[in-house]
Amino acid sequence: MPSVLVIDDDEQVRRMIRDTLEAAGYGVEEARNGAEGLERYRASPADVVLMDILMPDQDGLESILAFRQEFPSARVIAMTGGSDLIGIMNFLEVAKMLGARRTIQKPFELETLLAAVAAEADA
Amino acid sequence: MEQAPLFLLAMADQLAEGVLIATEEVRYINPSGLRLVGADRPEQVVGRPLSMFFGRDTVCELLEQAEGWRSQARTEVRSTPIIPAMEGDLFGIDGRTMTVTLSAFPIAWAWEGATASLVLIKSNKKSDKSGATDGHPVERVVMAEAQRRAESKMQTIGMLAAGIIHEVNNALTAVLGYGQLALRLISSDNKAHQHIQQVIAAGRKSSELVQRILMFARPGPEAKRPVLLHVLAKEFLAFLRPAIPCWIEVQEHIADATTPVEADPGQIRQLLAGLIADVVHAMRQTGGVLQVELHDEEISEDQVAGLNTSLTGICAGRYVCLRVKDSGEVGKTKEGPLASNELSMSDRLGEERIIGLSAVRSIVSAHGGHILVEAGTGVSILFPTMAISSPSTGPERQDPLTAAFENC
Repeated sequence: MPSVLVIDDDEQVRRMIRDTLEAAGYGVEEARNGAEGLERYRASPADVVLMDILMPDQDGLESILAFRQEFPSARVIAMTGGSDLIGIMNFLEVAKMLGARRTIQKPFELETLLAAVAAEADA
Repeated sequence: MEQAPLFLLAMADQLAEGVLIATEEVRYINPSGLRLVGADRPEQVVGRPLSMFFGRDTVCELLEQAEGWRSQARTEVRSTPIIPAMEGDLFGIDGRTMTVTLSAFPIAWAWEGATASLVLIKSNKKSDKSGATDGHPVERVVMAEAQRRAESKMQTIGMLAAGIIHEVNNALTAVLGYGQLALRLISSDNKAHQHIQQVIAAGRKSSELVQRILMFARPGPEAKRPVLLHVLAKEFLAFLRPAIPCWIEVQEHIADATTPVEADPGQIRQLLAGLIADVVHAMRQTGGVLQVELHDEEISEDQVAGLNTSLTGICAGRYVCLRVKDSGEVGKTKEGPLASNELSMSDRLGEERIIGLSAVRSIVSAHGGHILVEAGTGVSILFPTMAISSPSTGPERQDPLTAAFENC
């Protein structure tokens, strides 16, 4: 059974993703921020990491860098509900530059999420 | 001012730099100085301590430098003394702070026993590159400063909006996700299935709305093309309506058809949003009626001749006229038609109004249009129609063109 580590500070979103992925046959672990996610990954490496970008304590971009340094083969999918409204950066583009293999813009359709996870789990 | 030579005051009145004559208190200020400190009348400044505008430390330093200049002038009689200048902050009476260069000279007469100094104030702001105003140099400086503050405010609003959008998107992710999960558990013949479908539809609609807001907020490349303003205005007003407080009544008088204009739809939306936000801001506490009119308007040679001479930019012909007015005081600041290049600080429109109009003017100018601020009728903008820019495309040929504007 492929495993997915969901890193998101929003509990509702985490639970919804967990329910969706478990219904599709994945094993799911959760973490509330990047640092916690890295700890869980060290303890039990998941096949796919679903990483939110805008999180307190350690954000997704910083965490993607940390994953890349410590686990270069980790398959990270970045997701965010944030925007480039203030013109500073497009978070998802930056996430890709930093090493995320795929990106998902929130809100998303469940099919989009499942397709992205399946593609990485099978890779 | 009976103790100061009148010729000196007459000269000071004409200077672009701010001029103050002060002991420890301000005794005189010229019109440019008034603008710099954000005052309307000399009485708002005269009699107040100099330190109120520059801070105690700066004033001490300034007067010391002036005394140094006096000493230098005494000892170096045959050479021109070096004028001391220093940088400092100017604290306007409207709460503004501006970096300025100050020069002080002791002057030859005394004021009630105290030696007076003449203080020259020069703003360190470079001239306004936007070309948003054609006014006095000092006015441009004040405008640029106000523009900078408005931009800073907009950036803060942008950051807040980005934070809100992030939260909204997270909430929508949960709504749509749980909705779709629930839908899978309920058979399609169950009434709850249809209810949840409606929840999902509403979530998707909200998501699209957020995307539209983002599309509107992001700056895009300028792209002018034939646009039917009545279609664009109706659509955009529908988009803006939820953001207008319910105590402001919106009255739309938008023609069913208008002659096409060559325009950048994104900029026109920005212009509409700016004008409406300006009026809504003016009525945010009192409430009132916001009227938006849009229709074709034929300007005749006689009308052009009868307009203010400064409106020479307007030619006779067909325009699309956008008029935004309110039931309050906005747009009632000056009698008679007023060309865009006549809008100045002296019109006392208030800073935010000026900033709004500055942005509007820039867009209107880019479209070859004209702004009229008329007493009692709000702000009117005339957009030249394609009938003017291309004589072969008259209003009677509007219909064949209409098909090309489905997506304006």
